[in-house]
Amino acid sequence: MTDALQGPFRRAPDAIETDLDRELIVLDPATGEMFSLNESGRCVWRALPTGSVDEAAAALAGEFDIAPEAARRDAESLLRELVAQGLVLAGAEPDG
Amino acid sequence: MRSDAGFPVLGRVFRPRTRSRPLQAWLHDRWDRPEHAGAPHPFRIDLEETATPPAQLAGAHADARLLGFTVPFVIGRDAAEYRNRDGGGGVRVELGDDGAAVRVWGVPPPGGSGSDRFWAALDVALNEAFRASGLLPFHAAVLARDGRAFALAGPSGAGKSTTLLLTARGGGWAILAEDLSWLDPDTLALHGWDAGLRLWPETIDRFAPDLADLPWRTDERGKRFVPWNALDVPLQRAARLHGILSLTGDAAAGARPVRQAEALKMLWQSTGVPLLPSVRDRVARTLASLLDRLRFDRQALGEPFDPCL
Repeated sequence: MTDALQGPFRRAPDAIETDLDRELIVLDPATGEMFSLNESGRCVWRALPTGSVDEAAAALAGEFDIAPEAARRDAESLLRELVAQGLVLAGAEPDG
Repeated sequence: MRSDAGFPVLGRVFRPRTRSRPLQAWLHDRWDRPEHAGAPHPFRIDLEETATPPAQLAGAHADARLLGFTVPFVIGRDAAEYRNRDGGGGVRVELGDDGAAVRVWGVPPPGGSGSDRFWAALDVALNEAFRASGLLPFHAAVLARDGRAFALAGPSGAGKSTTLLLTARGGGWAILAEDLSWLDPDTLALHGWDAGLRLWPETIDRFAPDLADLPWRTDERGKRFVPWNALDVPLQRAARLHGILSLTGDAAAGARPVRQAEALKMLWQSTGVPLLPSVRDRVARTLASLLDRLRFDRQALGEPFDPCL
């Protein structure tokens, strides 16, 4: 069973984005790894920071003509992957 | 050093003020390239050695990685600082609208405690200053022909230097750089910065046995430094960057087109990632603009170098 994904979500401060015509590329400078986001990925990335998966899903549903359940599924899947890659940070920002 | 008033680096005025002989020697070795004086540019870089360190910079921590060293920096607003944790020795770079100020203190003697990190930190700081002026450091082996430069990109150990040596010795190509050149992204002019070739001893034994018994100095990683004039190959100090080839051991990969994301990775790999957010954003935009102006391809290791770009 997959653990629930807890917000809020924010971009990793070091992540570098480059917007190309068909994709948005996010670079993790610590590892040199690059992550390619398609149009829906770009939409979720642009919506950050968000308080929850539901907020990211609402941005996705607002941009594309998709059902709320599908938007939530896509948003959660994408956020989970970005968190695993270290490009998105989940949870409250530490003080200071 | 040519003058206390400074000297031009690709048109930017670089004005170091220091009494430290090791620092003067390092700056001369790394930055003084009279052949790359360039047309005047308004950006100015001042370097000053101070007797006492400035007040500590507040900000987030970030590591710079260079030549196997991890150098811890503190990142402030348009400023970055390295301090030797054992006390003494540090570097700070501060960026302004039309220039950069680099301060150094406690310059360690070569080989002294903390020496390697200090010089690496100074290298990072000056790279940041020159990036802020609009230039890009370009780490790749570069060959040139007919005024066009082709860069071989890839991680350390990919075979760039060996391919460079064999290609130049095979005729028809001139060497522009083995590791470092500086790119003006506006004009695509690429300026070779190396004074020679660094090769692993086994590479010399296998591919250039005529050089094997000569007393080359060895760098910190064990590579032998062979000056250009010992190689008997044509050199070209500057040319217009035309294409970048990713060196690969997979011969079949050469047939696949290079996607934009892959081309962008080749560019980041070659130019490195700046420390300061404002410089990063600027470089990210510059690299995106280069995607349509340069050609990207692959070069299979061991295959003749003949880019059809």
